Amino acid sequence: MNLFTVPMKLLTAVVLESKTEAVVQELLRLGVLDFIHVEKLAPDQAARLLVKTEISDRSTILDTRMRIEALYRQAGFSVPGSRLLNIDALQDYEIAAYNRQLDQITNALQLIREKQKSISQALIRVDELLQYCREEKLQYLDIRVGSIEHGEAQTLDSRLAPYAHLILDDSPDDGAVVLTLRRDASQVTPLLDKFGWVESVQVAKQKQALKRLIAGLEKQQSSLSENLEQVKLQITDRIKKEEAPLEAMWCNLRLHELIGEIESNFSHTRNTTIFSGWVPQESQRLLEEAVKTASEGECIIEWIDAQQMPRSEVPVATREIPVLSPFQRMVDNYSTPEYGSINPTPFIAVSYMAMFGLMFGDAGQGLVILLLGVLGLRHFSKRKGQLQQGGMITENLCKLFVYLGSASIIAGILFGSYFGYEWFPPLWFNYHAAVMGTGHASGAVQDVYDILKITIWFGIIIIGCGLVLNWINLFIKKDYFHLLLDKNGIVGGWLFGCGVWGAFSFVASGYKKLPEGRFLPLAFGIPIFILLFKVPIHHYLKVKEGHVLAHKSIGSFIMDSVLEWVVDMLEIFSGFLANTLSFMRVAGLGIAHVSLMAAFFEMNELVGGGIAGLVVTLIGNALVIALEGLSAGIQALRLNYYEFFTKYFTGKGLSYNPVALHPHAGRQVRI
Amino acid sequence: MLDEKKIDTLMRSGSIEELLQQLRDTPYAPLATAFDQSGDVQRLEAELFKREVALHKDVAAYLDGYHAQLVIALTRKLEVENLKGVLRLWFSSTVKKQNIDYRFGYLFQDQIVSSIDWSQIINAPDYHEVLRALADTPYGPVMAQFDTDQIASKGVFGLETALDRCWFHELRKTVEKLPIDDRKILNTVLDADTDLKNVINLIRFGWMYRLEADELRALMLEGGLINGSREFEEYLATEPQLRSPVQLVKKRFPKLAKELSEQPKATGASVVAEQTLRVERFLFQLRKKEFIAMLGGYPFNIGIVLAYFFLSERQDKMIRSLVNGKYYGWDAQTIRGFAT
Repeated sequence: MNLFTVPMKLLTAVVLESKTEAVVQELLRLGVLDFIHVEKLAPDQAARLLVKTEISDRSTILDTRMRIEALYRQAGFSVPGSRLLNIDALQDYEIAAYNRQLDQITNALQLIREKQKSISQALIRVDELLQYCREEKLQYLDIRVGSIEHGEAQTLDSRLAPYAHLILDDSPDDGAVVLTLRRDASQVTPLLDKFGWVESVQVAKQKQALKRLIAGLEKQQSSLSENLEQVKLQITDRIKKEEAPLEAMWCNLRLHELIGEIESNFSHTRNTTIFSGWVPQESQRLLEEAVKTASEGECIIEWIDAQQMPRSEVPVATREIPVLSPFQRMVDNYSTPEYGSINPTPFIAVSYMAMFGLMFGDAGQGLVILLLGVLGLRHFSKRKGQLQQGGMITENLCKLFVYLGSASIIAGILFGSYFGYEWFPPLWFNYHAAVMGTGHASGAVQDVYDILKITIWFGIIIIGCGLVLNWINLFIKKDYFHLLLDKNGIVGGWLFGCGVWGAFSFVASGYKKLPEGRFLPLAFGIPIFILLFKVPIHHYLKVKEGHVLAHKSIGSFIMDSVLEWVVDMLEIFSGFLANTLSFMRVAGLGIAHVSLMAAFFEMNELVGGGIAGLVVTLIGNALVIALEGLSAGIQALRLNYYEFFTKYFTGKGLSYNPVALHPHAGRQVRI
Repeated sequence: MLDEKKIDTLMRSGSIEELLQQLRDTPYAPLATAFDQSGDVQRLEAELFKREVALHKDVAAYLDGYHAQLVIALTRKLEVENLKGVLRLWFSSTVKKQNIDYRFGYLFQDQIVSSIDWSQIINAPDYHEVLRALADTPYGPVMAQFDTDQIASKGVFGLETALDRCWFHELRKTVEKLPIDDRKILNTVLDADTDLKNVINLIRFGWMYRLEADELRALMLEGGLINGSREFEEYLATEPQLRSPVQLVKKRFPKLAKELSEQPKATGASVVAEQTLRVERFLFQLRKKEFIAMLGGYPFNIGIVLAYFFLSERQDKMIRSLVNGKYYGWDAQTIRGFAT
């Protein structure tokens, strides 16, 4: 496993204009080139080169692709996705023809939508009538029971269509019932008169009418709702019918979009095309062969080593470690490492799990988290290949659950905690006993102070590791100045080490005295004195490198040096102290975990055990897993980001983003 | 909040369907759901109103004391707008005997601030019943100043402006209870708003509809510097066809006066619409400037709440314009024009 970022090479190629199309397709097929404009490499030649910009074309392609995607979403389908892209299936495209086809589908959908709209408006009418009937707001309603003397009920129904109404004419014995809104009376009454409406005089029928109407309205409401559902299905079916052509159009447009993206990085002379870009060293030969084959040997290729270019301009790729993908995401969320530096992923994996285990050490609860992760992964493996849009639960999160569950199980076995119970003796020490002071604590860890001591030592180890990683990075960068004099450099590390030694000696003496002798004053004094010369040394080195620095008087130069020294001292002493003490939160979370479990045990006793007790224990464990698990996860992330990464991870790298058929997961490469 | 990139993407949508699908990953996703279920664009307007009410209520719930009362007073603006909508429908249905069909279904029918039985208003057989429905609300006394004959002969315009003034009066009363720093901020914002809204009314009704001085005076919102000023009195005293909006705003808003004095592109009756639009845009820009300054200033005052409402309202307006624009096939420039 390579711990550093992937070595990169810079390609510059010249191919004949006539071969460009084939070369573009090969570049897209390989998908390893992160383009840069040639003009950037040779700004003095930029004026002689032509850059073709066909932005309007690309924008039209994008708009048409978005139209297709909108149709997919309307039908509730996933957008096709890059897995369907095949460069061999590339065809010419005619946007106008595509849009005509899309217009046809849209127009057909429009007709369905009109139908849907009128059903929806009919539903509004029915809803209002039903609401007043149910709430017996009869003053808003006109309920007429009787018979139609002239014409059919069906005709009356159609004439009443613009008004909220219901006609029940299904029972000859009970007579017809017409329900309308009283506010429409001025229009409805004359209409009924035309149909020769005769009101019934039987009171019993009038009384029964409301029940019949509610039943009738409910039936109509459910029928309209069903119709709406059917219309939705019609929309889905209409789009599904066109799925194959839509998919073909989408893929072709996407391919042309990617080709356009590649071509936008090209520069041209009259007969040649010139392009340049970064590629992982491992892909150098493959890419060279591909360009040569596609251009039938009519090309010039030049390679430049990354070391010959400014480090800040080299894109950064890290080797993909599939098993550590959740931790890679944590690194990606933070930032990109500098080119040539250590890849932080394996280190955060170890430190994150260790921190989580210390905060959430319970084998039983860990098993639950592990099982949740495994179930989630099974769910994702069943849906493999389908694009998952949005959603908080991702495959990576499930993998993280598996890791954290395992860490928790191991820590639980070490602490002898199984759902808060001590079913087996601890391999290290009894966390619960140490926190609760129940007398079962054994070995070196007796109380919460001992737990705090463990977490402080843990913090010191993490910070120490961070410093060592930083020194390695700086050594590789040949930045010896910062390696020696930076607050995270050797001098800073030395002061941190001396501080730790001094502090533990002071504690060992019962908080009475610091180590005697000259070592400690000298160990602090000499580096502090050396740091006083940091600004002058930096100034000297910059001048030696040929930098022109602003002129300063001796007085202001000394003032600058002293001020920077004071700031450095504050940062080193208060910074390291705060960083170290910050790890006490690990103990804090662990203690809170035990205390919560203890609280639920007491509640269990209060309810007298039995089934009620079991319920309390189950709810307690569920709450602890959800709340404490989340807290421990967040705190572990915070400690890694702020106490560990800040020591060695500058995040100043430039991400490697090749133009490819299948987008790379961030800056990781699988070679 | 949606960023400019997202707004551009929305603007590029070819149809209402595409627009709504683009909104799926935004806080406006319920709009897409509502359209999927109904195919009805008018439902979207109702959804946006519902969202606005919910947002105001959420903010009010986070505050207490006079600050919560202020947000409630601001929420009353939505209630007044809803009430005006219901009254317009009632007028069409009961007074003008027109069929309002399903239109009431698009209006908000839950409680906004006061407990109002909206169905009692829409189904009221006469104006007395409307008054009964609003008796226990701040709008009752204002509504009681009108009678059935007035409504029947002059329509609901007078009623609507009276409700606006009532809301504004209540808001001013609530502002007076705020701590002094917050009060200053609110009064500055409200005074500028009052002035420009009064100017709009003076242009629209004093110039186009040529209302008499007394009628115009009755339309004015309280506060601000223009209402009661020398320029205002001169404007009212001038013959309606000779009234000059430029003179009216020259002292208080010289930049606006310069804009208004520029030759309008439109002719005839559209000149008034163009001048009104100029004032509305000026008001929008002025508000934007004020609220951006508030966001960059001291964070622990009412300015942040006002700025939040402003930004949210602006965004809703943009979405509303986009929905209507895509439905009616407007171009991007027209949509942006309606959004500001």
